[in-house]
Amino acid sequence: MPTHRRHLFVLCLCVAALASCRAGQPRPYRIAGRFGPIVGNELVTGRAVSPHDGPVLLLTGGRALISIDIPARRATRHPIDAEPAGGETMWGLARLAGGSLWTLNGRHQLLELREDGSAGRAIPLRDPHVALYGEGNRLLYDRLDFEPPAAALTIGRPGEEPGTVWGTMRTRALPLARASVAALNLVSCGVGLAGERPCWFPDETAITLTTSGGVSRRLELAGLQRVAAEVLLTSDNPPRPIRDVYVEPGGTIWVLSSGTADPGRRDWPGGWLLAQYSAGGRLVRTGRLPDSGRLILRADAAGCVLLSGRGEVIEVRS
Amino acid sequence: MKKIVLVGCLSVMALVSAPRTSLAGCTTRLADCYVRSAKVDSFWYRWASGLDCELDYVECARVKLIGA
Repeated sequence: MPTHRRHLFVLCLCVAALASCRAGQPRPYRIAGRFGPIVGNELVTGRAVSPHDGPVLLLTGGRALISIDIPARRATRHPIDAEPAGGETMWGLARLAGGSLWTLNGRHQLLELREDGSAGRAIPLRDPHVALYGEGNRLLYDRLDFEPPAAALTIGRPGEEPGTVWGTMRTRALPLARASVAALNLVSCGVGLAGERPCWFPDETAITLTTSGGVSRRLELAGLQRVAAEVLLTSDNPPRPIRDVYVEPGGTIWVLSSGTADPGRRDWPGGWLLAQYSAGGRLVRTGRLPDSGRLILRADAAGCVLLSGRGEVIEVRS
Repeated sequence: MKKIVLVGCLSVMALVSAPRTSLAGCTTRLADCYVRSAKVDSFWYRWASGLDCELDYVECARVKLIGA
């Protein structure tokens, strides 16, 4: 082979290698719009999205419902007119297909909320529960489990005992203290607008997607950093492999991960890495956020609207 | 003008009160709670008190592990 052809060949190899390296590196997203802040220094304990362009609702630990009208770039705050049961936090926000809104008031009470913050029915629960989501016209419960392995999620209509197992996620028996195992078996669920709802354990880099009929599939997600259980349990602000997941109607899976914070902003809540996967779980892109993201409020195939660490609503695009 | 001032104030407030975690020490609290429970005389109340400690621990860890 003549020398100049050999050099050209080596050059092509280098370019290809660089291109393949670059595909795996987080590239920054750009902010296409922002408004707010709409929340301050308060914990967000629940989110309910509406189909189409309806408002996104957030429940805060400060006991307020925040209705976010993204197209109008406006948010309205309604204090919740109910006392927390036993001084515990209200957790989870479920909007059912009929429009009703529900939360967990403490661990043993289901509470109906109206969008103006007023309270409706209160229904006692026999077992302690730690999270709540809406699934069609049923409520999806994460029961506090001290005896794994067991079904991680159960489902039922308001007023029914939530005894029906949903999906194939099972709590894990881990070689740790009982309370630590219960904490690591807490399940988070994201938004699923393509017929499957994503749920995950806090220490894993995998999600389980489940249909409303309870058929599950597990996806291992590349490009996310696994975090040791000890780090999760003992850190003040632990890095989380998966902070939020949103499956947009076209099937694109958006994952918000802690990633690596900027120096000086390590205490900020939220994640710095936004990853995009195909419906089959293939990593399409990872990108660094210009501002930390706490929750994904809306997404399409090209980008996301996020609640930022500073409490603003930001729209990020590739 | 008022609107600009209001938005400016909100932005400054957001920057000043940049959210940060304030719920550290779940494990320490659990340990303290176990110590208190161990001092309960009745066996069954001691057991129940220990269980409450674990429930409180999970509630504390929930903020860090699944809160936003």
